[in-house]
Amino acid sequence: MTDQSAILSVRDLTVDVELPEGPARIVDGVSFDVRANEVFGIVGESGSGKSIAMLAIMGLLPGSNMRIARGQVLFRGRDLAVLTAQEMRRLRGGELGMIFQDPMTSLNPVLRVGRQIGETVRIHHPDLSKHGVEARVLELLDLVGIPNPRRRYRQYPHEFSGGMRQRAMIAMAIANDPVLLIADEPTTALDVTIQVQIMELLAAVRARTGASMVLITHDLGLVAETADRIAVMYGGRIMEAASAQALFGAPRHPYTVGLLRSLPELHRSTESLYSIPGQPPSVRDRPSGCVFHPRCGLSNGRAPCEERVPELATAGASHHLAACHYSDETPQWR
Amino acid sequence: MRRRSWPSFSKAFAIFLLVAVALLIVAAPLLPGYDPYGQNLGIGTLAPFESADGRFYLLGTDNLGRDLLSRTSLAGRVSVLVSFSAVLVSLVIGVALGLVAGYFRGWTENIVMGLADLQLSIPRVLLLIAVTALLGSSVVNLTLLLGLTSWVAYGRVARAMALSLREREFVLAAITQGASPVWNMRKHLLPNVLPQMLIVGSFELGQIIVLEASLSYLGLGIQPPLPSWGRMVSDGQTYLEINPWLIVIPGIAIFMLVAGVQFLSQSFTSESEIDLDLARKRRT
Repeated sequence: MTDQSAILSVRDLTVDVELPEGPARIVDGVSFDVRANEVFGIVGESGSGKSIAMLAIMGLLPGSNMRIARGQVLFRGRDLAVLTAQEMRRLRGGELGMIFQDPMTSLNPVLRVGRQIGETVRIHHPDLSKHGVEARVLELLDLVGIPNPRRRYRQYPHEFSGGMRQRAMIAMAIANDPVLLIADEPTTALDVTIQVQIMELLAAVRARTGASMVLITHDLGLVAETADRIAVMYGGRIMEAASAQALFGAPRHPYTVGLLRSLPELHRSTESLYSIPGQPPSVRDRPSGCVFHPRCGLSNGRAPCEERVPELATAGASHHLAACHYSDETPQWR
Repeated sequence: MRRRSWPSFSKAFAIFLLVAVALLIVAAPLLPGYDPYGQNLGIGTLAPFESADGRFYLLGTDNLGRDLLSRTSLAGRVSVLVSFSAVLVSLVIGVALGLVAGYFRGWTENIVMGLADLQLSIPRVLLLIAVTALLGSSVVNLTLLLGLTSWVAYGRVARAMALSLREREFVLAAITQGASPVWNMRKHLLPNVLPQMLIVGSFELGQIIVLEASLSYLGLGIQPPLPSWGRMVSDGQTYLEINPWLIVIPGIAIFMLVAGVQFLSQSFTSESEIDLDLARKRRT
């Protein structure tokens, strides 16, 4: 199922962590493709492994106790595992841009914003003159909708509001015309009206540069509005992957069904929101077979769920994948 | 209230002392009759405020009849030059090693901190005596040696700060934008640790001055004919009964400079939030 038009191809990515009580698998056999010009959403709750998977792709696993156990990451046809540290650095911030969750802490408080953005430019264009860098930064500030860029250029991060800082972070991420943007919960730390503005800005920026984007989030509403295709992660694995329309319209994995059911709805008044019974599994003791089976209403204690790990397989439509032994039964069950 | 008024008083006192020392070393050479080397054996060990041969000696003369004001002034220049340069040398070494240790962690950190412990396990004065005895003593040697043996305070504080700074998101953000470790240390860690390093430096400066004076007193520091406060005290000891001012004047000069530097450093410390315990552990 290798996709020729894919910009980023992840195959069987597996990340192990060395814990005091023994090794554990945080990301388990994750595969997906991000195509040119599309927004690929990765949805999952905290601890589902979505952020670790992205850090692994960028070669930035935190700490020495985590390592990629197996799998392959192809970025524009190049295998990232064989690149040297220097080649990886050239890639990051160049063709690969990243936007973080918390713009409050992602800017160095003692450096002027203009200089900080300028450094991203200078890392990748060391021969550019001082004026060239400044002109580029002012252009970027303007591009991300920061009013009065000349004044803002000289200000420190504490003089910026949260939304402004996230705009500055986006300016840094797009400074070198990336082909792929990885946005790790870009709006989680912002309030709702600013969220909309930031997502609109990202859409506008992508329309200009034609960059693809991986949007990592736990916000189903956000991903529904923005993403073309979505992967749902749970317990370090992809549970279901489909186009946004198919995923929200006809989910085939019981976990996705549970997630959607737990969303509040405008036209339905409820005393309490639905929640999937039980707790997400800890990395230390993930259940055997399907990681979701102890909480699954569809499984109902059937043996295969407990014994065999379900493959991510076609369910229903041709590009709709679900990792469930009984994905055929899901439509009736829900 | 009391917390606020104390630092401002000690700061004013510090500034007063430092201005006085600055006047001594900057303004005294401008006076007529400035001559730190000219000997006149006929008028040796004059007391302060005495005149001889038609000249007024504000601080008197030493055993060779040299003007004590001129000598104290020149000695002050040497002391200040040596101690500031030594602080600069140790600051550069300490910050570089500390940032590297804190940023890379692992075996790099173990080596650097092992070196620091090794350094602490040998008394500094003993080490300096041994090395100057081997290499001989010049102003440059002395500066480098004082600098090389004093980096631990900066190294420890810089490492401690780097340990927390490296986990900050702006460092990760810079890495995702393609920054190398050297770039991160230079652009993101250094500006964050520099103010604190200057405070550690001001605290170290006083100790370096005393250390330089002690070495010179022992005859291992500044070599004659260049005057130094420590040397002046040891030379003056012989003439203690004839003219105690020969010891008292350089002693007061040392006190004024060191006390001024220390009080100023204290008020910086209480104004910032730096934990100087790390640096203080190294007192010899």
